[in-house]
Amino acid sequence: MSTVNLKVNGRSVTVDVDPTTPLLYILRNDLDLNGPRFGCGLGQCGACTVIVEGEAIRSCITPVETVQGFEITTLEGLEKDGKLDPVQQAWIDAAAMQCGTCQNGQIMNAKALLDINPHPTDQEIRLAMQGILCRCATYVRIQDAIRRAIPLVAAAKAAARMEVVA
Amino acid sequence: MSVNTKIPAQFEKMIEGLTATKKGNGTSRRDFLKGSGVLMVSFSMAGLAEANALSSKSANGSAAATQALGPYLNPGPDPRQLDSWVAILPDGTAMFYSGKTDNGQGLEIAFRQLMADELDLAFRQTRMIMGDTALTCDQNGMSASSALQRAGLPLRRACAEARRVLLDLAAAKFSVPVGDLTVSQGLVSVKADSSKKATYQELIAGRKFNTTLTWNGTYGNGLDVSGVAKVKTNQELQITGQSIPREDIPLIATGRFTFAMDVKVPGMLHARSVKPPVAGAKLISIDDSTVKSLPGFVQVVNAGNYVAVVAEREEQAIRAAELLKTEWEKPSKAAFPTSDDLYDYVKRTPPLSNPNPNQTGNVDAAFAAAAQVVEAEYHQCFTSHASFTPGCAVADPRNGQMTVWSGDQKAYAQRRGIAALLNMPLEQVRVIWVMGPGSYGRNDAGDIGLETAFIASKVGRPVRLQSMRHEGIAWDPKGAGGVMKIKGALDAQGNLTALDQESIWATANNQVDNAPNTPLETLIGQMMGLRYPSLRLGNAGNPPQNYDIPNKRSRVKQVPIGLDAESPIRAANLRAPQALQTAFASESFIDELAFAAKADPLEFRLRHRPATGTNARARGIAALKAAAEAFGWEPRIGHKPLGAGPIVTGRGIGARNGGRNGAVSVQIAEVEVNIETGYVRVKRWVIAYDTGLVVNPEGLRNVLQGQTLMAASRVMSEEVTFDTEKVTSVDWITYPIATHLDAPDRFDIVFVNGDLNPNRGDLPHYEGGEESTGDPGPAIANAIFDATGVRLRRVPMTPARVLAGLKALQG
Ligand code: FES
Ligand code: FES
Repeated sequence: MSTVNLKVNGRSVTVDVDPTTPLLYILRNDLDLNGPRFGCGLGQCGACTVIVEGEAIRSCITPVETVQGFEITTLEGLEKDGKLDPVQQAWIDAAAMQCGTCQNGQIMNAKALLDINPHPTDQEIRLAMQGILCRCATYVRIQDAIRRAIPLVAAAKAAARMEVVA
Repeated sequence: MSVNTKIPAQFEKMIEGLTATKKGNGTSRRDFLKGSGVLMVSFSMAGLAEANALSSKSANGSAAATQALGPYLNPGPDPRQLDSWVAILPDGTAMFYSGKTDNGQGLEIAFRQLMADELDLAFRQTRMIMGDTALTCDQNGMSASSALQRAGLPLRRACAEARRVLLDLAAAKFSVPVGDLTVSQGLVSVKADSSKKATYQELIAGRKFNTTLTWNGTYGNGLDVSGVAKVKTNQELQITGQSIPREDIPLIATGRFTFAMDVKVPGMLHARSVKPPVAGAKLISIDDSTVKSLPGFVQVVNAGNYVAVVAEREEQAIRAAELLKTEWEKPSKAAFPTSDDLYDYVKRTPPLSNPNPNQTGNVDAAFAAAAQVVEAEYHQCFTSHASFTPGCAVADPRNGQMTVWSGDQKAYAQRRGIAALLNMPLEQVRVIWVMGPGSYGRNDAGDIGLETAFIASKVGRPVRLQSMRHEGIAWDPKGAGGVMKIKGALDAQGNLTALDQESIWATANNQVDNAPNTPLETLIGQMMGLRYPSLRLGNAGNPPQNYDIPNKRSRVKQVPIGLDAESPIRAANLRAPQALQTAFASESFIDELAFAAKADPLEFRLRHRPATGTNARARGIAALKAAAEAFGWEPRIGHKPLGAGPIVTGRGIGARNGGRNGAVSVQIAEVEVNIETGYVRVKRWVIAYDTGLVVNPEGLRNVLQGQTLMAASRVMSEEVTFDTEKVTSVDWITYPIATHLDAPDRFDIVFVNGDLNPNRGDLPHYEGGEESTGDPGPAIANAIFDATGVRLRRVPMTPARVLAGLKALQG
């Protein structure tokens, strides 16, 4: 056991764990963040996806010691000032799920995709999302949600720019 | 907030407005039954809130409070009491207690729409508790997409009866006949004098309904109740038919929802199972010296061949399970055939069951007189439920009770299984269903609740057990594999005069388990040495004969798969059990017949009028026509000439007709085949679906889309592979499923109402979803044939098989 310092959803936290522990278990069991979840523990499904410094990573195969000092965002951290992230809003609008257990990975990966490529084509969406599995096969709705998110993300960005200018 | 310091948001709204109710903590169910309606409600709220507050670490002491609530009713709440079903809460909302469960199909919303209509409430005035053995009647949980079909009317009747009692109370209060009253959003008023009014909660005033219903004496799927009041006609339903959004989606999308795997009980330990290295191995010894000194290690739990390790933290339990030294003796003979040998194996193995064929007409004479005989053999591999997150449950053994939170779709079956395994009276066992991953039938969740309860009983502390990925795919109960042979006779006009079918399924074993009703039918029970006295038969089917054919014969044989217990290849119900398998054969074969008869596949189907029974026929024809119209079907005889490629396209139909609980489904797939790589993608799906009364159109669309793409995944890429001693498909690489790349460009769904009297006020709701599971396999196979001339008769239809077919054509 040793002390590990993390920055999660804008908060600094310290946990006393084996530093090789996958980040996933720390998030879920120590920080009570249940958005990321265990799907395979093998880096194959995306259920455990979190965003580290803007990049979607798989927390089930990420030793917690390797992300010390980096900004970690989980599904719970997407909301800002009580406002849903546009990607979350698009998911709700599209009713993009059945059981929902994979949707953390879908949403977080889509969020990271749209941050890098705000106007992906249908094929770019498919390719960027192909590693995030959904056993309920809700892919049609997820892709619909991402298409719905494109203008919402653009609008949110424009609004943020306005605020800065003002 | 009532009883807890932190309550997950999905239950928060349920609890709002209940602060006036008395706490249920520490009060027994019997006291509640003696008490008032409000008390009973508050019991329910307290129980559920606590149950789910357990996901929060700060839920101080609430687990103990939940545990203290026993003893529980055996067999459960009394279906004859209206109070077992409906309660009016102090905030004016109505609560319904449903023994059904909802793993993401939106059932709760659909039920509440029916409820709102029958009770004359706004939708937001309805609430629902599902699948808690202490609170809801035994309705068998989720089963065959049939919750609305089977439990919809009992719910409506109970709500109509509750409304009747409330109106009677109002009539007495205002001294007017019931006919002089009107009710809207739970407010009853006198038509002629609107100053005379009272809300439902004022009328019931904390009392119970104390009203007896007529019950058909049946639990489970067939449970039915009725009161004096009549349900409304479909024309009077206003909220039913609207696409009211699911309330769990915003919670899930923001990480606020508590799934079964998120439940946390204070002081909870973590466990992992250790599976034998090969199927049927016998445990010789356990050496815990490698794990004893690990930080957090608590203990090894063992009974027979079942082994688990328990630790303080989750990653410690995983590590201990990896490091624990176990020694096993391999079985003396091969456990099963290899997956490649499966089809020859079932044909050469003496069947356990070989009943006389079902026969109508004179099949032999029809074949003797045939102008043409067509024959084909179809092969279906084993498939896995492969739920997205592997089985997980939490069990709390304190206070002489066993409380289990589980995503298993059948809470009552699990309660019975746990009580039997632990030799505890049912009165001390409570199973609380919490939404888990899509289960699609008897998945690994059916085993995990018993395993968790067993471990907790040994450790004496609350335990959370989750399977690892390989357990979820390799060891879950499987959709059955087998062989289907079909022979058809065509007369000189190309009409189908006879069908002769034989199916052989590897479904006979000692562990047929479609619900964890008894430990005999669970993995842990078998590993502890429990056995039925002899082999049993599984759920085996023959291709549905959905067409009007004068002469038919069909025979189903069942053979054992080899290892008859503790096997990772145990056949069980997987989404529309046997329908996906058998429809692949029957609807592919109809196209093969149409090709031989030089007929367009749609015209051939319409000519042979789907199914018997006037209503079914009319509905089947209506759905075929609706799908063809939505797709823009152009008649074509034979397949297209093979284009130069690399991409060629084709279209195909799959149609089922009331095979599962009355619904009718027709699907048309348009595929792209890359003739260089063999990769097939469905570009476009069209579904025409007749579910009868549509309660929530968007919810049904969502379910149909998912069912279809999951079924396509099963026939395009999924195969449980095994050598003679173990399953070798163990993760998402070795058991590939559909990905985002397989999503179609377009998905059209048409709701059809082909009833002879489509506007009848009692148009029933049939099942909603599973009927569509059979169509994608044949639709894709027929479309590949249309595009290339290649006929695939084995699933999965992988690129390699497409390429082999193309090669054979050219060769
Ligand atoms: S759980 Fe991390 S990728 Fe599957
Ligand atoms: S919604 Fe169930 S796994 Fe994706």
